[in-house]
Amino acid sequence: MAATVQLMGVGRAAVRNRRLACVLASVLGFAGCVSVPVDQPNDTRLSTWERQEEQLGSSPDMAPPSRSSLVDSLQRSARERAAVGQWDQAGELVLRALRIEPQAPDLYLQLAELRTRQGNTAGAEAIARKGLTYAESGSRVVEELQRYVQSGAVLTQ
Amino acid sequence: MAKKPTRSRAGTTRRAAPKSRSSRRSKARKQSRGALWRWRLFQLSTIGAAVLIAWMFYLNAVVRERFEGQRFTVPARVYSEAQELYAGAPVSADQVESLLQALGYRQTGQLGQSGRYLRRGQTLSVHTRGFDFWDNPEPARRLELDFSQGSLVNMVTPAGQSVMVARLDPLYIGQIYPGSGEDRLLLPLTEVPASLLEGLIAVEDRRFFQHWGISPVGIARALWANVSSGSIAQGGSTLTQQLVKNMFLTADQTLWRKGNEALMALLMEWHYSKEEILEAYVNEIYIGQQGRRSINGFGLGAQFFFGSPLRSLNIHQQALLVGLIKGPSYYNPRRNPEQAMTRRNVVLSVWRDAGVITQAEYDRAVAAGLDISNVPGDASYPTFMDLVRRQLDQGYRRQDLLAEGLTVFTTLDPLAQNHLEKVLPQGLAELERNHSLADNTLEGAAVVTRPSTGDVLAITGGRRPELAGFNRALDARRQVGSLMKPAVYLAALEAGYTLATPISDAPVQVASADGDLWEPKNYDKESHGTPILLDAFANSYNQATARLGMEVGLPEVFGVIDRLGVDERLPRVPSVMLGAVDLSPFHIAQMYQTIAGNGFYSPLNAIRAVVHPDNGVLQRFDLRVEQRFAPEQMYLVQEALHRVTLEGTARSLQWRLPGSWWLAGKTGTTDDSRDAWFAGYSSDRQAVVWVGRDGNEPTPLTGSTGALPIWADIMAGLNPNQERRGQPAAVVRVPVNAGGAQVSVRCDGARELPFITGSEPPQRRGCDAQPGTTDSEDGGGWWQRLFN
Repeated sequence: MAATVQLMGVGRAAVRNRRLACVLASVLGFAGCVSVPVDQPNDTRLSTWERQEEQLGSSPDMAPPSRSSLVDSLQRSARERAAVGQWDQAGELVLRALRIEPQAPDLYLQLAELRTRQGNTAGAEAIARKGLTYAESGSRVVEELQRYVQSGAVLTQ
Repeated sequence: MAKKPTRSRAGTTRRAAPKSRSSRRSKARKQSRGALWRWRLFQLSTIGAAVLIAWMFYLNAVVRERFEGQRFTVPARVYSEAQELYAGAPVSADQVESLLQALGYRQTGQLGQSGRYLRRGQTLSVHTRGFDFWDNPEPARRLELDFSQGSLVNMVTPAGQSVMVARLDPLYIGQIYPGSGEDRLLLPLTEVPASLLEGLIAVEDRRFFQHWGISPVGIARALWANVSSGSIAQGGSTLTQQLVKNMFLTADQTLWRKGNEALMALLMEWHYSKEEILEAYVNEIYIGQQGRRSINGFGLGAQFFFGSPLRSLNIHQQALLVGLIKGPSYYNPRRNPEQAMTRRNVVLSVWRDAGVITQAEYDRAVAAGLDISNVPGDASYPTFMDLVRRQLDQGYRRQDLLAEGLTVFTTLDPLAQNHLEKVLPQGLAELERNHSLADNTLEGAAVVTRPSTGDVLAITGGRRPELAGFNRALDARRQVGSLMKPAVYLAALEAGYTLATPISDAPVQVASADGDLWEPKNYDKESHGTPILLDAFANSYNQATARLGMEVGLPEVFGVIDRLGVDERLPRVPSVMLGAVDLSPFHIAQMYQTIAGNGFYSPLNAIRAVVHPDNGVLQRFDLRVEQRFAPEQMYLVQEALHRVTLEGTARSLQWRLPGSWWLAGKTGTTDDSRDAWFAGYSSDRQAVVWVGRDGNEPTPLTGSTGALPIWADIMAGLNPNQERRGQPAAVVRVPVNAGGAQVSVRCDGARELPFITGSEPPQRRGCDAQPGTTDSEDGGGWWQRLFN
């Protein structure tokens, strides 16, 4: 099988920033385009959040949290479950996160960690190899993923 | 005349002696006969008593076996994937509202009860039901959801506290291996509202805690109450008798059945406590019907009629449930709301008179509407259920599956499934209109998956997806045409070819082992010179592909097909390279899953977890990945599939879908246009569509004109997020001309193509250079270099 590969294109941070910018731009654009007088804050065409935007003006604090914060939260919960040996629940939390951010290499890293702790080194290696196809070249996560690939390769020799 | 009496007397006297003897004899005979009868009666009584005792033993065994074993028929309940809610979730207010309606949530301004919601513009206020998921329980809670431009942008509690993530309860989509049509949600007595229990006893069996199973006093009292009220408000059977009738007997009105019922009720009371009997009753009682599905027990009844858990029902709702026991069909609140209302109010008046509720509670409850949810709160997806059954049979032990009360969590995305079921029939009807075909002559099938995990999100096996029948998505074996071509090009890339390698599209002949000649032709019956691999692929040239496959080698091509995940045994003949092989849409989805998965095989999967009521999780889905191809080579194939959507046979996607979307896919058309296919993906959503006729007759459709428009409509509704893997580090992009030579990026028609580092063609100076020529042969003189 071919050697592992690294990303050098668009990174996760860039994707996240672009997504956040798109959401903000679209929301601001929407808020600006819809002609709702500020003295009619109960216009039912708008969401509560948009009505608040209309009344308060755009505020960075009002921006929706990025999906990564949710993914981070699920990852934290997974680590807590793993710490007490609840492997299935931990794995499911990571998979929930993966369905939200399917190209996040750190989720593959966490799955590889879980598999290794469960004694499934071959599974960890395969997961790590796939994670590398999403990882940004030179990042810490690449090093971590490669560690699992190498340890899997050593064991299979 | 005077003598007659003497004679007569004498005569009588004379005759009296024999009569007396006769009388004695008769008496003796009678006594003897009486004794005989008494003896016979005694014998019969003894035999009867013995039979009765034996019968009692039998009934006792029946009662104990059922009560101490598996008391209820609880089929394996199958649920969809739960909708994840979080700020940024790519779902619109309309989609979430449609999901809430499918789940049986009721739109109302009163959100105090779970299972309710209120829509105001782009805001949804929801009181979720909560659900005991296998991995984590989800609490019932109030949420305020704000949407904007097709996404959930904000989720808070009514107090304004931000909520990071929540899950709606999953959609109930059916039963697996039902022993009967009965369905129920088992509840312990502690989860049943006290008012419901008291009210049940007040209406059905006021002396429940006093009698031993049968109650003559109860029968007399019910009779008196019914006569005096002029209506049949109370029944004579005890709760125990009703339970016995429901659990063991039929509804026949015969003395034999009534006798058995009484005996079994006595036996049941002898063996079990009142609480055990009451708990069995509230889980057993029949209160409704949905098609072949029988709604048993108050737990499921609450969800079925009100869309809310039993514990959160109001007094008037509880009264209706109790009222339904008397006649689930006659008092069906959806069909006969007036009768249901009358019955509910009779029950409420009994409750008030019995002191179960106060006069004020009665007044409020009587004034309330029926408050019935609009939809029964389930859905029917026979094609998906078929897949679930097959995967259960493959992955689980039969005895585990036959256990009562299994819960199966699946990967079905109800929004995607409903969208698919809407789009496919619409698309087929439109094709028939546009191509002047008779109505309902085309059929179709489609599969939607999530490439990152291999989850099957939606599947439909025909234009009438609600009907179980021939499952085309899984069972139709149709020629796949050009959908097989990625395997040929992947084999070529593994053999050292590049996307810029020229390949002749001249007519080609291949002799098979038995001497037959195979002469594939291009769809337009013309040859196209010597295109580079990328163009031959994007334009789906058959002659170039057949030549390429033969150059690479059939074993290599079949090896790639196997590694892509096609587990069918295919005939080892060259025509397979051009798709002259019968596969199902599901096979194709599996094959393209490996491509979308960056070269990693993950089996397509419809089951997330199976939970046993006693033993917990039997098995759960765990992401299985297996590297089958080098990611760099798969990246090149993905690029080729992307080019198909930009400049090849699927270029109409550029106007059918937003131009900013990154799409990859392949059309497939078979001989005489008998089959039209499109398989492709965008980010984390993949779809495969087949269109054709069941009788395999020709159609006027191609993959581009038949399957692609439906695929585009499917993807438009799925609205995949537009993330795209980055370029592997070992891949470089260089500009090449139409001949495949590396030229200056400023040359007209130069395209930047990806190459595995070191495989890129050498740089040439002339814009029209050929890859195999030198710069001097290209004619690029010093003056031309000035402009390059």
